[in-house]
Amino acid sequence: MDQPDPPPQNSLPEPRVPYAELKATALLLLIATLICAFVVYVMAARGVFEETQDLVLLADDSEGVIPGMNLTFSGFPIGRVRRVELATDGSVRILIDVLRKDAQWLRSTSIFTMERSLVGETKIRAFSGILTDPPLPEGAERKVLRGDANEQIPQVMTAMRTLLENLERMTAADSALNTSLGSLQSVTDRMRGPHGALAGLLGSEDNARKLLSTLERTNTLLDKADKRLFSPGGVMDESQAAITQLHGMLREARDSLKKADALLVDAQAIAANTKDASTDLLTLRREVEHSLRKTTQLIEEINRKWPFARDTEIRLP
Amino acid sequence: MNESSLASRSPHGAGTPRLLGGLAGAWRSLRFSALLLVMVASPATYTLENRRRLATQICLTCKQTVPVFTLLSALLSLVLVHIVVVTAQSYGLSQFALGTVVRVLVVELLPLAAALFVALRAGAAMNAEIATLRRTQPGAPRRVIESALIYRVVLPRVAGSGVAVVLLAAISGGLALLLAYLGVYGFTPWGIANFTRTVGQVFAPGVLMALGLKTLLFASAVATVPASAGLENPRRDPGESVTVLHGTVRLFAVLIGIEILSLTAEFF
Repeated sequence: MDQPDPPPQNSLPEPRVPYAELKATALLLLIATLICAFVVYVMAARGVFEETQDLVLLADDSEGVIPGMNLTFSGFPIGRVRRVELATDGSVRILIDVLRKDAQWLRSTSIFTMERSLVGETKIRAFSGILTDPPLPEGAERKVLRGDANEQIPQVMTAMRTLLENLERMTAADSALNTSLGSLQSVTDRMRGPHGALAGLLGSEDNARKLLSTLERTNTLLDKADKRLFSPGGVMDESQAAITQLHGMLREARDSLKKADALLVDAQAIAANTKDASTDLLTLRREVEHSLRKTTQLIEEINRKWPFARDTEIRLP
Repeated sequence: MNESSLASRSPHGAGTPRLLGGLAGAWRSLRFSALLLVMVASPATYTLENRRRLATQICLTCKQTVPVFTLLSALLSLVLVHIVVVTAQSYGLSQFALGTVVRVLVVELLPLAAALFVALRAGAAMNAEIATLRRTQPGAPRRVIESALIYRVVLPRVAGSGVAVVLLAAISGGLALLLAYLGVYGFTPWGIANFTRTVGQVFAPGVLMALGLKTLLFASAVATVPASAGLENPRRDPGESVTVLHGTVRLFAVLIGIEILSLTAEFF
């Protein structure tokens, strides 16, 4: 092989390229540079040259969690899943490299969630409510809260089915809602009439008309009663005068009764001395009869006055 | 070897003999490709004269392929990036556009496209040239290898094709990354951090290794399969065009096999 055979006579003409070796070396160097640069770039992109802090998240299911996925805080990636392993107690340990420069966002009270959506990859998120809390220590282990949209699907489907059944029941032709809507429509139709909402409430135009006429008559009656009662010389004035008169008559009756009392006292004295009193008995009797008459008159007067007046008129059939 | 080849061309040959003939041909081609690779890697190959020939052929092959393929790959990348980004945005999945573009273009499409382009642009020509020269030196392949034809013609072209495939894959991959960044973020430097992070997520160690191995296998196949087809025994070859066709079909089969293997290793 060191001494190759002489070239055949009918070989192809050999092409000539100036500085071929130099150019070929440059091409090979270009390839090596491109490959090395790409490898270094990928290593940097995967965080090989970054300082990291360990964080272990404990979950009960590792579905959707793959090495290389991000841990985000407020939407910014601050860490990367390095490994997912099964612990001795059956739980899942998700080992995460948190960038040292971004570890400030993780506190001892931080909460970690793992969300799996219908479309797209699983997301691991960190939430730090109080940024003044102590920072998360190196190698800390935290439980991760899971939020799985797929798990909610059966419940959502059941609720949706119930909702649809209810909706179907409500929208049936003989449903209460339909009937109510029909009634409401008839009410609103009536409301569009000349008597408006009154016809809707009372059921028909006739009823509304009757109510309005009743109201008008009531108003007229009230006007008349007002005039009769409170006008000068009306019932109220007469009642006022009758009451005044009644007061006077009562006063007189009281005086008469006092006199009667005095007469009764005297009568007692007279009874003791019947003989002497026999002459005064006639006078006493007249005065008593006079007082009783006045009282009777008074009572009759009261009975005649309003509001004790009675219809004493006797009508013949 | 001759018996099996003859059996494969027998008028009564069908079914099992033809299959055996095909397997024997594949094994012969594989062994010859391995011999060529060993010779390329052997320091004894690189004498002063051979170095000049190798350098010349590398320059010529790269000159034939790099400018055109760079242009075409840039165009392909631009169109695919735009399609993927617009489609992802329309479905509200724009956060996955960049990863999809990088994975599809840089890892899957462009290395295969580079191999196919070099195979069509340089491989077929190499196959024809070697077949033409092979007719002047009839004999067993082993004897041919020991002849000057290998050093003067075959090895420079093998090295040129291999280097061209790797160079095209590297250049088009870098260009596709650049165009993907511009297609997703536009002319702004504020997406570099996110872009870098996404690239890091796509190129896991396994994917990176698969990409490197696949590119090397593509380069080896494109470099050696046409050469081995061209060096078939001329007494059994009906003509150069048929030889080139056989070599091209065999090369495509090998490339597809490598791609399937790569996809299987990556995704299963």
